[in-house]
Amino acid sequence: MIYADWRAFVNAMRAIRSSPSRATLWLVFMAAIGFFVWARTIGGSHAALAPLSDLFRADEIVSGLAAVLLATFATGKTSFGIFRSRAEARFIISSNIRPAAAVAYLIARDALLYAGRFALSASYVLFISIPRSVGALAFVLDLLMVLTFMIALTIAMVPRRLVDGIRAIACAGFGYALAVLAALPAARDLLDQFAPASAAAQFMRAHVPAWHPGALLLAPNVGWLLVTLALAAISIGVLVAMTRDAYPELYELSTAQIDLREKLGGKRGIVARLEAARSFRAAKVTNAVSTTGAPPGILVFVWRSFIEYRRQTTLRRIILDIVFWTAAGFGLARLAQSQGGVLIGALVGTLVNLLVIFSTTASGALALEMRRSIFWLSSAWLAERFIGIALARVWLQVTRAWLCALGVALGGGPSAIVASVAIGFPALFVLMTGTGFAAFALFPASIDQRGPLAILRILVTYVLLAPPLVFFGVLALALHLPTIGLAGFALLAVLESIGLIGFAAWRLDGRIDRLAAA
Amino acid sequence: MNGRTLTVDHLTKRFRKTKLALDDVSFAVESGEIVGLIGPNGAGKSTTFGVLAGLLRPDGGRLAFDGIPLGADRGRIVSLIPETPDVYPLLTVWEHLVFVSRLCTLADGWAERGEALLARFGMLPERDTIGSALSKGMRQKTLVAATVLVGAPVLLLDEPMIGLDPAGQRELREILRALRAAGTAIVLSTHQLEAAEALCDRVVILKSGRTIAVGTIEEIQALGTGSLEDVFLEITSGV
Repeated sequence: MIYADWRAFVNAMRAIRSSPSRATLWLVFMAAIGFFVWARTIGGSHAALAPLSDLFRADEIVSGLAAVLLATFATGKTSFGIFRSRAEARFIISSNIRPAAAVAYLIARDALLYAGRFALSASYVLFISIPRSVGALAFVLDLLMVLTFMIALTIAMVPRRLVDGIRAIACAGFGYALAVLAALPAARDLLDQFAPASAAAQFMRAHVPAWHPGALLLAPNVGWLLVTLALAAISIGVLVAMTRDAYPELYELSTAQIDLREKLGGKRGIVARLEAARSFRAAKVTNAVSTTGAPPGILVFVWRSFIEYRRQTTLRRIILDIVFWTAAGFGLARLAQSQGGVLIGALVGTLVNLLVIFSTTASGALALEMRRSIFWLSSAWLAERFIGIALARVWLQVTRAWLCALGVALGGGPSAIVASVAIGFPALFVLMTGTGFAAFALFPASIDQRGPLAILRILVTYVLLAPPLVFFGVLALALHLPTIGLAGFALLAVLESIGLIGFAAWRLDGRIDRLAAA
Repeated sequence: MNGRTLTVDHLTKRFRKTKLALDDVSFAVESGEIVGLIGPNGAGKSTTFGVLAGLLRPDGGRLAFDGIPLGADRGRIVSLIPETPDVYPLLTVWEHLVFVSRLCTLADGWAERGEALLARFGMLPERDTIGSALSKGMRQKTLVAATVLVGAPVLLLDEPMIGLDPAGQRELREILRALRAAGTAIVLSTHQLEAAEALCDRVVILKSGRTIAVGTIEEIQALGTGSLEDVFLEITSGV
């Protein structure tokens, strides 16, 4: 098994090496990451005592990671520790490898794989945000501890999924309770940072102890590493006890995941995968009432996207969506009234940063479209069709932004916030889509999307945001023309996006072999 | 022969500037004719289709239909149906026809023609079935119906018989014959030489990116002894 995986890894590396531009991109990426790690650990100035912001950030990392993993354990719906293909399943099951050994190997491989993928996807956040008070040795201990913790929990995933009935309910209850407990310190810190005077913050201070799990990262020691190792050892014991003849169940779990993965096809990114998974479930419906009224030209892409959304989303979910986004806007307005503009500015800034960072994981729309022969029946320009696809991608996000703006207006929020949410965010979505298309056209391979390209897209988006922001700043702040400033911001962002889409069309026109090789 | 011809003239395609995938490939397909593109794996069949459909840019040669070079708007002239016919999983069969008709801004009357096409292809019972619930044969028929609705005069089918049951194969053969009778120029690539023998008016044999034989089934058989399969194996191993 190790041999097969090693060969697969070597072949993947050869694929990177065979393309000079890709190899260069990866070298630059690795050098940049290495520099950040060096600057933040060995090269940085290390205060003896971590500042409070470092502690809060470390709390959020530890709490977030633990809560996500524990919630995953609670649901039992993961793809950890299973066969990655039917061929692999058949090879291993027909061999004389004991189930516990096979499962342990599969889990260790998945833990490394997922940790590696996460590190590549979120390297920007991870390495830029390493607290300066962490030294090189502490950083290594941190990595070991996080990896051991991930392995311990992922080892527990398979036995968790093999239990059923009341024991499964107990596991779920236990997992969710621990996940909530793990998330509390981060929630307390966030409220303390952003809304210290709010009722929620006061409630948390009164009822939740000031735990700081982030201290584990800032000042790790061998003792904590031994504790996580012991946790992993217990998980292995449970695994061995429960997987004496687990191949049939494991095969069933694996084939369900493999089916889902095949259905997901080229979908990349968290949002795209969630949408595809929903459509996979909705696909159990085989018939639907056909509609005929569709707009002509490229707007038909929006019509198709709307039909797909409607077909994979229940009415209850749509209503919930409307209520949620309107309520979010309403809450924002009330927060602005009670806490002032500084907090709103910080919140919007954080939201924009999160959107820019997480949007880098969603980029498979073009590949999926271009692989469909029906897409090529049109004689419209490729750029024109790409604009249609871009509109189809953003209409739902724009609608949510408008619902949020409506909520702000209903909550009596300032008109500046209403206008910013209603115009600024849609412009940002359009710009991020254009950036995604251009980045995809440059390097369509999924392996690149996770690593260097994610960073490149973030940087390009920030660079492209600069001109509209400057334009807005000059008109709105210096010349006191906020409406024209906002309109100019949106117009510039849309124009930049059209330019990027045009670049993507020029780059991909007549080069579908690039997609085939991706 | 109706006179409208798809002409492939001295077509060349390289990958990564070094690997020669197509080397001086030439053939022609008349309207109302089915031409089989056959050859061993790696012969260049899919690359030829990719270039014809505008998915790949050729490095040399000329492609024309009715004497006019194929340009960026070839989507309305040439339609490729790949080996894995991908449809939109959440659109019904009818909505696929709506989608292409609006995308291509077809003139009024397309809906009646669409309904007639579904009836002709025996797809009326599946009119409201969503894409993910369709069999491979039905997906192929949906794409062929979309192509015919748009009025593309050239249809390319990559390994159309793979994965179809005997009834599905017969249905597809009948549809292709009907399209041929209606004047569509059809090029299909296949490894199933019996299917090529039964369906194609002429065949083009490719090997290592080069045209090694072009002609009717009888003309190809005359190059060797025995069935098309025997001759195919003889000439592709001997070059």
